[in-house]
Amino acid sequence: MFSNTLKKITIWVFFILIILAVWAVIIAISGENPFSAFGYILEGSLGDTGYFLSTLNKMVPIMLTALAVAIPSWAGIWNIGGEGQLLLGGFGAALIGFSINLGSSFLNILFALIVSALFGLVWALWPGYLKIKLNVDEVVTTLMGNYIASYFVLFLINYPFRDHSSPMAQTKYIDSSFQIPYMFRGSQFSYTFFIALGVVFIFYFIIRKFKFGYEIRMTGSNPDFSKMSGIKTKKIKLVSMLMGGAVAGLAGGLLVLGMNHRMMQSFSPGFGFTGLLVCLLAFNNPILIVFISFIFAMLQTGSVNLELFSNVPAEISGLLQAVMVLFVSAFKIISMRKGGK
Amino acid sequence: MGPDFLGGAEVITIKDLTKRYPNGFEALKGVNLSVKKGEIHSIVGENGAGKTTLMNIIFGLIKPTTGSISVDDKEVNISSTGKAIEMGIGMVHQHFMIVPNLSVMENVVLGSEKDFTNFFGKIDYKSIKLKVGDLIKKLKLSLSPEDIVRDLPIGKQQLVEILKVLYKGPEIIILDEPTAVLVPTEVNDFLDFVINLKNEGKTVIFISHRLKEVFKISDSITVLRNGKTVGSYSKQDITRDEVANLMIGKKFDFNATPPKNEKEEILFSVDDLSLKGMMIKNISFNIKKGEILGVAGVEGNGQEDLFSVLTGDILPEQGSVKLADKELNKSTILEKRKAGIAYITDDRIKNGLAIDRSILENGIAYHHKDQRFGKVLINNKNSVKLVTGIVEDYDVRGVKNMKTPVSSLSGGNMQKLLVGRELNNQVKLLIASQPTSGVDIAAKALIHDSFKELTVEGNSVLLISSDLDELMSISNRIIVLYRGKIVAEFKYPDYDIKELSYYMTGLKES
Repeated sequence: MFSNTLKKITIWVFFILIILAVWAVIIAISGENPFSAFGYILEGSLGDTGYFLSTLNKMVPIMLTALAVAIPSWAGIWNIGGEGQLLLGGFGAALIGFSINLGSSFLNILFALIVSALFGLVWALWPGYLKIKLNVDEVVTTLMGNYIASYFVLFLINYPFRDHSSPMAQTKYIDSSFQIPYMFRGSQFSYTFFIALGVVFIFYFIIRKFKFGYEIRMTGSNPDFSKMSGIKTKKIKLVSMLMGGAVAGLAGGLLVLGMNHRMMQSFSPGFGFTGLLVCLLAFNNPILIVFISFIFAMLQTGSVNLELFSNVPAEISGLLQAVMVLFVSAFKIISMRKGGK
Repeated sequence: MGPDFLGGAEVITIKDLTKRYPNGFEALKGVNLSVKKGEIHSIVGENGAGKTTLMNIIFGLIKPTTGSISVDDKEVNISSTGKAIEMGIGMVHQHFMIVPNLSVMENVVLGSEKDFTNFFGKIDYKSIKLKVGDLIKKLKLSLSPEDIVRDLPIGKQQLVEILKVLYKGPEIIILDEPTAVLVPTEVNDFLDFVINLKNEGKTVIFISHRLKEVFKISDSITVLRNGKTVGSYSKQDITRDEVANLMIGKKFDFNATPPKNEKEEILFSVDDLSLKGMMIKNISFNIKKGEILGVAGVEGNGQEDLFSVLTGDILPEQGSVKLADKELNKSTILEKRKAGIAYITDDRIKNGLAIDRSILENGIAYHHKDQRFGKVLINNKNSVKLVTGIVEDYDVRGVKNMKTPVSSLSGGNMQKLLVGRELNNQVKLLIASQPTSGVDIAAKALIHDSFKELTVEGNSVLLISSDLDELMSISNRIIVLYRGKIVAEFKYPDYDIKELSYYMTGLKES
């Protein structure tokens, strides 16, 4: 047992070294000393408290959109619609934030977050329903749903809900009573990080310990058998899809209440798709999702620094992510082949 | 020319072969085997005795830990299946490895299609047809090269699988449980075919659970138990019962009879059940309390649809299904289970277990609906207690840890886990479809005993099986399904295997 764990760790360390080596080559080709480039990335993501906090902040939407893919996939259904759900969730939170007031900041924030989750949920409802009623491929509907949601939100913030005093397509600011407060001076880091982390752990707990989690796992593993065991597999699939949508919507809500304080054009640089990648790399495992989100967040925040101090463009971080995806997929296939005797 | 070589040259000699997996599991602990040219050599043993591991080693799929293999008296290292084929070894696997959408000839040449491709990459189907057709003629098979495999009955698909192997021209042919999927009528034809192979001068290594078949065709028999060779015998020197006892290592009762727990009261009744577009027409039958009712029939005569209707997976158009006067025709499977019906499905991998989940998770399926296992959270203590009980009571072997996936168990042990889980409920009626397919003698006896025990308290069993021996040894009554209708009914002890098969194949109709 012990030697087996040791072996696994050795493989992973070896594997990470290979990825770093390939990264080094790519950076060297773009004309920079790889070691100093890694130095810039590390400095820009972990170098001081400010950098570190913005890395953690970056984790919030990545972690949650990854979870939004993971929950349905535990039940054997795909949610590629995290991006659209996040945008609608963000809009929902903004809408509440500039139009009503419940009197207390706590209630306001709670209500806005619930609404953001509901908006995301609704955007997962129709693909989920079409899947279980008519067996419409959810990969197609959720993926296409992203574009519908994205243009719909764009319409909303351009026309009915546009802040006319602003030259850009964005809504009014939310009332200050809706803002999730920053924790440190000079950093946008707020309680949102802990809310997101908490949500991940709640679902980790649900999937492992709850009866409902058991039914999700069994449905994902063998739906025919689960049905024979009296599990309502269609309901399980639908509900897990809705949960995924709600979590992605919540990600949007947290971004609005904790960082941007309004809904705006180019609100998301594709968080939903980054989340999808993270989830795939993490083998749908919530704990791994946290760690891999951290790595992605590091690369994204660190690459700004890299661009600043070297002649490597920031886009290179996208390339580095792609290399990682490539290797992990290859690794996954190799270990799968070995697993099946 | 085959018989002349009997007692002659050894084509495969195996000495002190062992196989230990990295996790410490020893699949083979010292196997010796010597196969002579031109003979049919059967390897028998319980599930998990190491038969398939041994064959996979000979075919180059698995590497042995220690020991030696010689082919034609030369020690060899069979490092890949390619090497094995080069040495003239071919293997027909237990599970089909053919492409259903392709024709017979396409399947046969798949992988060597380059031999029939011209410079431009065009495949010359004419010469493929000619060549495969010749092979079919030579082997006297009733196949046509252009038949689509999907449309063929299972028995013929099996032949395609073998044809594919024979096409490569092996001298030594390994058949791993080839008759497991065949119905009784197909088995005899198949055994004739195997004998024919021997007459062609080929050497056959035959793996089977079914001693009747083994004794019909073998020249020699090697018995494996727990990864070790127990002995090798000439067929003349040993009896069936002796082999069976060697396999399981203890005495065994072969003259099983049905239990005598029938009561007058009717427990379960099916009345005028019909399904349009399906194989079921006006089916009616009763099961008394404490009775085991067998359903016989050649595969594809409505058994699958009957099972689906009784689970609630398909809703019938007309008819009624009653358990103790409670109408269950339109109920969901959950309601049916709550009313006291348990199910053993015919395919444990497809819908009887979730094999990549743990033994614990599989053991509590459906039980988890009970409050004992918690309202919101799963009660781990009770779950472990339940599954530990099942593992002990039903002798599920190879369980290292409750958290290991079910896929680490052998087929027979998976089935015991499944049966144990289903019978651990408050069962009034058990509906079992092929409950002992691919299961060794000891496990089969254990499963049959558990069925009989169920009847002691007045509970009943509906047993759908294509194994006539199984049906006749434990059923109080047998009904025969032919083309979706019940065509005959037999009552113990008036079972006549000939009469039964006449009705099963439609030679006689009521």
